[in-house]
Amino acid sequence: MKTYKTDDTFFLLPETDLVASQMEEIRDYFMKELRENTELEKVSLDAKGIEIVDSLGVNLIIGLYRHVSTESKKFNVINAGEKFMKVANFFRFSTLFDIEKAPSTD
Amino acid sequence: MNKNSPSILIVDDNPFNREMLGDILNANNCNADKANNGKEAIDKIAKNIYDIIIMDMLMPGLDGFETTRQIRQMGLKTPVIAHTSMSMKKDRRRCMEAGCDEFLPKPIDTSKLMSLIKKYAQKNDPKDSNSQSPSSPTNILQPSMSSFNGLRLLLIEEDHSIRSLYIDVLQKMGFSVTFVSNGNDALNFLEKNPKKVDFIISNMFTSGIDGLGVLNMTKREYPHILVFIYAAKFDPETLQLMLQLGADGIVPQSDFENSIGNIIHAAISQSSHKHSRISQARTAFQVRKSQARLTQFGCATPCPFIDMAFSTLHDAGGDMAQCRRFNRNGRCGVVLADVSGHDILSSYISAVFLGILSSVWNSHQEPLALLKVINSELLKMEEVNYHVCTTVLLWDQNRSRLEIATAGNPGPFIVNKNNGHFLFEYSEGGGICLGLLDREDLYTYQKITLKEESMLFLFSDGMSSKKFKETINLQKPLIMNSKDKKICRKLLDAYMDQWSQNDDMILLGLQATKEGTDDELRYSFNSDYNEVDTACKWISDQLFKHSPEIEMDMIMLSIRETLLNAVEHGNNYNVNALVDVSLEFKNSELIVQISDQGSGFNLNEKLSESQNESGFQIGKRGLKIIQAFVDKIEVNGGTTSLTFTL
Repeated sequence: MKTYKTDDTFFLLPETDLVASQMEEIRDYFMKELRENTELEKVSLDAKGIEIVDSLGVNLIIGLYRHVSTESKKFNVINAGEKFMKVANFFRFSTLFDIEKAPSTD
Repeated sequence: MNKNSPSILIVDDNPFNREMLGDILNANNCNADKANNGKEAIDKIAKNIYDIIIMDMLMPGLDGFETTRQIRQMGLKTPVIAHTSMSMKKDRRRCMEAGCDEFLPKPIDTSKLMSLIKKYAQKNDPKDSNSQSPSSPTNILQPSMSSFNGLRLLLIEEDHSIRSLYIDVLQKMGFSVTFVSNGNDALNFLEKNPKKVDFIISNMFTSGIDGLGVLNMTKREYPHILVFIYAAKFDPETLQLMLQLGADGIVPQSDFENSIGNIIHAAISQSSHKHSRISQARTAFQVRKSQARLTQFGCATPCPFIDMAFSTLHDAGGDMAQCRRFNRNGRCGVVLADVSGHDILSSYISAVFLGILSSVWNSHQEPLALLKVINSELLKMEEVNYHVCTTVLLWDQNRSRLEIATAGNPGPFIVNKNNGHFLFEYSEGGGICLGLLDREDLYTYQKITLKEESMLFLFSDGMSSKKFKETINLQKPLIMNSKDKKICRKLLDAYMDQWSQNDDMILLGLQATKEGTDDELRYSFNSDYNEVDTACKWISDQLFKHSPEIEMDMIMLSIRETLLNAVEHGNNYNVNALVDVSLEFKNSELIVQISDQGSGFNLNEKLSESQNESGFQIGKRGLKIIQAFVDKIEVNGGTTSLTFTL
């Protein structure tokens, strides 16, 4: 997992499934990064490489959204794959934040 | 000496003491007879009539205590003077408890001895209306005609004329008499009418099942019934055996009419001051019925791999054996327990134990965890000084794997069949019984994989591994044909026939289950998130193999959430607790069963609640996923069954 920045956005890139076994490590890392990088207006979760999101993964995404929102910043998801979108649609993530699908590989 | 001189039996293994006492008594106008040991004494007492018995209490073999007890069990009230070098107050009490009337310490005080002889010889004088001896025909004081009014008696006698005579005698005493010709008919009658008999009087020698067989079966199956045996003559071994089996009275046939009333009367009043023996026996009958409830299979239709049998003493007991199936994958628990003591309180503690077990077993399936929690609950019962020897077993039937923990009970006894021979493996077990100490490190624990064609036996401490091994060697055909459904009953019967019973016993047998033929569709893992990932990989591989074309993403997500539920709630993150998974493809359906070791929470209730809540509420999202993509959910204890239409 890693983070990267552009001019106005701080990107969170898990590069792994958002499942229970990974959750503690991902959460700790991202929260630490967010605390240390407060200057940017927008936070994006880069869903590239995420295939599975279980309920703890959903909790993480909602938790990140709430944390970013309390700082009056914008939150969105980019590079969402097909499997990610199934979970996102089920939990109606789009009513809370924007989701940008990954470019089609066809 | 004349025929009115008191007849005295001296029982002492020391020839010097025996001769010296004999000389003293003969010199004082007594008729002295001598027995070298308890067995010889019983033999002589069965054939002769004595006014007084002088008993050495410490003898090899059958000691004075046991000999006196057996004399009392024979229905004889002949005064017994304990003559012993033990002089402590507690020794005196022990002698009296065994049934002695007087205590005469060694070395002999002749004047004290003669004053006792005088005292009891006078009491037994036939002219004395308060005569205590039922043995002498001249002294017989039969109970009044109505003493036994309403009591039901079963007479077993083949000879028509003897039967008629005895029926007449017994009916005159007030008994309601039923008769049968032999032991087989008697046992058939008892099976149909167990509550309609208070007493059995049987000829020792009848065709088919003889008096000894009737005695044995009655004491085992109907302990409320008092049993009396009569014969023209008894050999000492048979006499000994009858007493061991619990005969309530032994009647010399030559004196039946004169002695039977007193012998029955003595048997009824003998054992208790507060309650009659009948009352105790009836209580014991109720307890015996309760005991049957303490030994139960958990499933309505017991699986073919488990068998149980038990045998009680006449008194209340506290032996228990229970099994419970935790999930449909074949994870079962077995508990075998033995409460100390043989009284009504033992049975009460059994009931308490079962109550605790029932409430904590689902959530403490792991043997050591179960022992610890029951111990902690038992210790809360103040002022109840009972302890419970316990064996707990967690049984993975699909793999014939067992985890066993013992607290005071013998360890498992395994019989491996090897080309027509037996190989035995057994451990001593042990550990500290539950309810004794607030310590959690004193139990034994082991893991066993039962080989195919092997059998594992568990038993309470009334049985010994060494003796059981000998019994099994004698019952080879029975073990070889281990499909026999009542193998434990037959083995226990054989054990009791071979060895005398001095405690209640319980025997539980487990057969090795066949290695799962569908093992590829079963999976177990420890309660850890990484293990959930591996299990999901295994499940998706199976799904892909069976139905490569199906869209499995959301099915897998649903299954994953159920696995997480088992780890988090069912097993409460206990990494040692297993989660079992089984897959079944049935027509166009996939049925996934996921089992944990705990009761967790009521998933059905939570699922119902979650229908009315937003998916954004933390903690309920997993349930919403499970519910959304599954066609049917069933929850049965710790097992969640998911059905997907493919």
